[in-house]
Amino acid sequence: MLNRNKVLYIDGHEFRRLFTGGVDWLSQHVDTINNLNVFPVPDGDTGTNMLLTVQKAQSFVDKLADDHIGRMTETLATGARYGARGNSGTILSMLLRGFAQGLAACEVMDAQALSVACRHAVDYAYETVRSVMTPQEGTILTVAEAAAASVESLIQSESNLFKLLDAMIQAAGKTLEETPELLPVLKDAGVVDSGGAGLVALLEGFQQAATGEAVQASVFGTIITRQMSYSANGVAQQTTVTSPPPDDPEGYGYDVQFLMLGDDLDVAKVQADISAMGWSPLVDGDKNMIKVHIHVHNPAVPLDYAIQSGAQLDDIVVENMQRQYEAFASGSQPGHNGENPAATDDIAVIAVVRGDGLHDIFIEYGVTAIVEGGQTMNPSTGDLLAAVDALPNRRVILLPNNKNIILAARGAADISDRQITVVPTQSIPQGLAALLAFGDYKDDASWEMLTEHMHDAAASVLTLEVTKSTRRVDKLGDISIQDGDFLVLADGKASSSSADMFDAILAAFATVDLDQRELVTIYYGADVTSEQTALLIENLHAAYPQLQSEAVAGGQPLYPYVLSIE
Amino acid sequence: MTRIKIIVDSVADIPLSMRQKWDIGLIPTYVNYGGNSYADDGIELDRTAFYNAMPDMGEFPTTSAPSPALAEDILRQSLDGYDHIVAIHVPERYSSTINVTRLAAQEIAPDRITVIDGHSLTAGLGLLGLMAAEKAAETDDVQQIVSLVERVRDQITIYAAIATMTYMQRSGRVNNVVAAVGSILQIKPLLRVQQGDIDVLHRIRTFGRAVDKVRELAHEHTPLERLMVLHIQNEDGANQLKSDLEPLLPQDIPIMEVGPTLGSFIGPGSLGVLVLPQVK
Repeated sequence: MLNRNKVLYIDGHEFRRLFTGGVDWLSQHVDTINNLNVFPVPDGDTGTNMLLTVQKAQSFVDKLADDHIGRMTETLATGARYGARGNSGTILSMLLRGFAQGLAACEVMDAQALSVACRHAVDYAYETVRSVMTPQEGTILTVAEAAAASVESLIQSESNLFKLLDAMIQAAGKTLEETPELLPVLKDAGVVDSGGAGLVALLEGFQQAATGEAVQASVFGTIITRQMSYSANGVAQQTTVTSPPPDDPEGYGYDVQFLMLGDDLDVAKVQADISAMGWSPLVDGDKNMIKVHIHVHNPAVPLDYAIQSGAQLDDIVVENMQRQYEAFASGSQPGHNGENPAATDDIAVIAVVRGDGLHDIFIEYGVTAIVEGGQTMNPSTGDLLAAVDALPNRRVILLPNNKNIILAARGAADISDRQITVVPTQSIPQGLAALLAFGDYKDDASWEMLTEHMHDAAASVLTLEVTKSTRRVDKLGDISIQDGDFLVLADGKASSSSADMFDAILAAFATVDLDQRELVTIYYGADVTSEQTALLIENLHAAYPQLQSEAVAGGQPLYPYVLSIE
Repeated sequence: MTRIKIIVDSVADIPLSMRQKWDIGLIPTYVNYGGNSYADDGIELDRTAFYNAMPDMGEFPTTSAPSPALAEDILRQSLDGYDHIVAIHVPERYSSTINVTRLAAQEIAPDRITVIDGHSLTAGLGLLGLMAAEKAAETDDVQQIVSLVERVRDQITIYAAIATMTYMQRSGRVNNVVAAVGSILQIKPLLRVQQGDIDVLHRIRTFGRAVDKVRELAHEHTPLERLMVLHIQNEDGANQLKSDLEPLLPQDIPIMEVGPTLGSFIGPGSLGVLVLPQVK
């Protein structure tokens, strides 16, 4: 344990211990953070994404025998880059990278080094985000900036790292509470920023590990409790506590990931059963598909379990974490940047897609490979890199098809040695439009023109996404939402809601400028039938006789309908 | 003085009045539907009636080349008043008509009949026929006409926005197009006809944007020698396109309707343009 009066510096080992405490504390609040979503819909889960990001970071340093804090944080940051998932997870990985760069030359970290590293972390993250989009205030970036500023303001008078960490947590917490004032969508939704909350939880976990005591007055907990009192319908739930990785003579074991496919899967049961098999479990999904992630000593155990449950398995990935670490330590990354002997100059397109029907459509229109994922299942930078590496193509275009996957995709583009461009598609219809443009221009246009055409094609499509609200929100933009309402997002913005799905969709159409629009394509999900869809088309046709409609079986979960208006 | 007669086939889509004005002969192709076979000559088959009936035809119409005997008759009659025939035909890969004419020419008078592959379709062939007839009125040199056709045929480009893929999919004639367009989503392809090839240039979800693209592509060929607007049962669309494109050509832009032989593979609604750039 650290003596809180006297912590003037820490080394790499100690940092790892604190980081582990942070991961553990974050893991205990995953569901709470997941529920801090702006739109009360099943979308990218920030808590899950951040946890997977830091768990990957942790797996890279599990057995790193190095006291050097510069090398320790660099290794952590590298792991985080591979694990980066979702916007907040990806920004967190940037913060870690910048932090590590700030410590590169340091054997140990004192107050001065902490201050420099924090500043570098925040500047690096802002700069990197800025290179692809305008950074938003009221997010994890703002919270990180407050934490860094607090260290800088105290550095002249305070050299005790513990006190500085405490100041960081207080400042981060204060700013987290202010995020709804900075970002109106948060205020409307009655939530604080989820990514910022994850950062506070992570820092607070550092503190717990440092003192060895349970946090008495958790800043995170206080904010969440306060938030629940004013949020219309706070839904913080206590999560299953995940166990930390073992200090085990058997070594690292294996990282096992797979998808279970079925008709009536029991998520809660799979969650409980899988979690009992190992450490760092993450089980997420619905009755048609469950994504399983677990670290175990014997990968056969979870795989056998899943097969015997009667589910179909797909996308099975088993990684030997020992070898991964060794490869990393010896300077050669496993499984990336490797030039395939049959390397080709043809351009590949990789799209993130979920749903059988949507798979078929993307394949029909020429996608080279598909990474399973989308709403609620955001693939990581590492997942996308693995898909790139599996192809022989030197040039690859990534279609994330979801706003929460774009940054992870950019991360993959940064890491890979291949020429990768991310066309930042935010929905399935946008992705398809870009894919069609790819087919039209790939033989004639330069790389820049090609991706620009794809970009333009994506921009020409209006997307409506229909889903069921997971909680009540009194004011989200111009609408109010009851728990269980159908909510329609128009190009990602809340457009309408109603207890009746068709009413919600027609209300959303009423807000759309339909001049110059002639075709509605309806991708219907796994939970609706073609008969229901025919009824929807009848309704649309009655209201908008000038529009043509086309129904396509998308098979996506959670979103009964995704519509494009062109 | 060598008198030269120009002959085309039905795919050239030259209206009857124009054929009469320029004394252009026709070797017709046949459209078969409802148990009958009709010569696509602007007389036997009423195109409006045909297109109107098309969506409800139980079986899709088919097309066939003329018989060699018919082609021989037509060539023989033409040679009565002329010394030489230049026959311009639809490319061999789309129809056997050109081979029927070649065979007939062998039978009759190979040295008095020149058969040329027009490397184009519809108004592309029609334009070649008209330019050849204009030339024939001022020269008695067959070689000059042949050179003209051979030079111009590869400069002609047609862009077409296809309103429906239903007919092409069932025809089995243009499998490269059908494959590129796929079958899961409704696509309005933008096709290019150039040097005898039909290619899918763009796969567009809406007809409106496909027509926008046609308009845009026409501009890329300026300055223009010739420009025509093509349609099938879409006069309003054709008039709109014509007025949009008027700045591109000082002369009046002709509007032409694609006839039943080719139209039976395309179906009603489609719009297109033909462009022939000025020789640089």
